[in-house]
Amino acid sequence: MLRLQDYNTRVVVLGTTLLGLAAGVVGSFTLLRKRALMGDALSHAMLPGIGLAFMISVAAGGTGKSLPVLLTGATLSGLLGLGTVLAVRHFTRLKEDTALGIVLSVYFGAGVAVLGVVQRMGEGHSAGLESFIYGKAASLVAADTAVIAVASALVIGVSALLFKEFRLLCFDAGYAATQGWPVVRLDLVMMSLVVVVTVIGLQAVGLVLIIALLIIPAAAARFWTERLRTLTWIAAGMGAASCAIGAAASALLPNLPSGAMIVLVSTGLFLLSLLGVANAARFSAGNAGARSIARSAGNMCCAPCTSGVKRRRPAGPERRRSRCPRCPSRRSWLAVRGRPASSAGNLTAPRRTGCSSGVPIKPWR
Amino acid sequence: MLTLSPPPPAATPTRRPVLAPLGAEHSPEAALSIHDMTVAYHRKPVLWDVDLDVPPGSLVGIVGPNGAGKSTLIKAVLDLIPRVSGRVLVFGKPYRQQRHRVAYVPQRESVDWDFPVSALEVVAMGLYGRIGWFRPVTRRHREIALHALERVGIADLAHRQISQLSGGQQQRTFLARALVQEADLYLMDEPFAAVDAATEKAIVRLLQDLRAAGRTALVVHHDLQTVAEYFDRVVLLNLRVVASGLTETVFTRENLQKTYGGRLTLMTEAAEALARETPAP
Ligand SMILES: Nc1ncnc2c1ncn2[C@@H]1O[C@H](COP(=O)(O)OP(=O)(O)OP(=O)(O)O)[C@@H](O)[C@H]1O
Ligand SMILES: [Mg+2]
Repeated sequence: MLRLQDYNTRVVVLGTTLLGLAAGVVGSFTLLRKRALMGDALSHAMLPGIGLAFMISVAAGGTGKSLPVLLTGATLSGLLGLGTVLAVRHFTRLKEDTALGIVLSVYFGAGVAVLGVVQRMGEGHSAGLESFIYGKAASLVAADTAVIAVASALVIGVSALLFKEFRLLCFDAGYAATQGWPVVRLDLVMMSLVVVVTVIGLQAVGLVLIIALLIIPAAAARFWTERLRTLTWIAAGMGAASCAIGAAASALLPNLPSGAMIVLVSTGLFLLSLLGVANAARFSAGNAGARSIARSAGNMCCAPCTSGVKRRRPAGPERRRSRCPRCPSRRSWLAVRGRPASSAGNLTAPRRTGCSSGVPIKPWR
Repeated sequence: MLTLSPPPPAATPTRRPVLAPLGAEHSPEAALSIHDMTVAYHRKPVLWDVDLDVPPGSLVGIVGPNGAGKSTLIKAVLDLIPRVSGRVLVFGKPYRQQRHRVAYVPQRESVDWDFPVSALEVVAMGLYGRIGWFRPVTRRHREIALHALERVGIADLAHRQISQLSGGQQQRTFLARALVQEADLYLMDEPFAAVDAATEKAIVRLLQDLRAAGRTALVVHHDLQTVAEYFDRVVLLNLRVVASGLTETVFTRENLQKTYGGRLTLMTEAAEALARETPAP
């Protein structure tokens, strides 16, 4: 059993954290480009490549365990899968989701079959290939972490460099094309970043679950901000945090696969984000917009709900029972208590009953 | 002009003798000239044999029923859809060489308004071409963008996330994005769709300012009642150019009938519009 102080554990946690960082950044863009599921088809399509690379390398006299060889095989068949998606979409009348479904299942099925063949080639040989399916962070060694570090740095660097271009591409590709931006090539760069993240995530998270790392942190971050730059940062942070916690948990507790732990932690963060903003989202028209409505209105009555309601907390006996009309929890008002809500000097803002959204508020009871 | 013969199979570089509508000779100075353009989706042509000249400094309305190919016309000019045949020249040169002189205002539904950007950031996108690869948007660019938002009257909403803008404000944001490009030719796809009277007036004033500055605008427009009031020229479109030219000569009952066919409600509307226009000289 491993402990957090162990060198190995630290290598594992560091490697996966860097992976989460890169996945959060790239995931933000692919989510907004509405290409999130491309990553899923890509990763599933990698399985046959892993099996075939193993067979070829064994046939060539190797042990078949060489990671670069396996990952090369994975990359090639992943790209082939992506190419198939594009071809199906281009040459048939099928829609993209159908194409993705076909490619994902066919390639994964082929991969499982190939692994079955590999299994029959010899017992000891194939052991470990399954860890690419569900991920086994504990198998990361210092060299792997170094590769992940370099690849993550590359991914983040390219994203930072092309930040403006990616924003335009994700928001309005047609307009970008009229301005002479090479939309197809930018899309290719973005997909290449997804390929890189998927490849470095195969070991730790596995090809079935890597998509979670590309989608969930970015989706969770969307709840917290209305700015792409901030969203990217938050997604990166959440990805890194889920990976760190998930990998540490799986290293410390026996029999917890790292990929699953990482996904569960990131889902937890997603739910927290959802609930944290749920109050605002439930009542405001523009979903996550409540926060910035409140900000643009110049004040916030109750910080957690951020409904932007300008309202003075009543005095006297009403005070204890009173609630912010927009959020069901009384906690909301506690957060405002420090503000001069009851002082006469605050007439400019919280005096009015009404929310900047213009929705009338029922009288308090 | 109604050419009922099928379009030539391939682009013929020779200039056909055209029964040109009044005031529409091909001239090298045209802001936009389209020669025999045919456009198809999945090999099914939706625009036939479009032949069009737009003199600089004019406001041109593109009018036609739903599915007439108005958006397709604009997208084909912008190379967003490949042309089957034909040639498009912008100020005498192919579009590729004139990109910086053309600004596109897409239909509002073409983007996801939940996207995490502010109005100001959207407007700044009009400057990306000038900013160039890899360089970030600086304060100077944001000032230019803010100035454009001022021109369309929503500078106070600059930092709002775009989903919190009303439809009219979103439309103004798109217009501001086109304005910062400082283009000479503006292609606008239904900028008046679902905007209130105030926004409509603001947009019209903007168009007139552009014309006063010598700019050219092609505007897809649906409201037949205001066509004569807003535009110097019209293009009546229904899969082919039914007629094009100066509004007073081309925007006639007969041409509208050809354009809209048997659509009765629209015809009544058009008739009303014409009835109101005829007393004017
Ligand atoms: N992406 C597409 N694929 C296939 N056909 C298309 C596509 N876009 C448009 N069409 C077809 O091309 C024709 C012209 O469409 P277009 O969008 O240019 O019409 P429009 O004049 O702009 O109509 P509207 O007034 O509704 O905006 C229509 O018959 C439409 O069905
Ligand atoms: Mg249209």
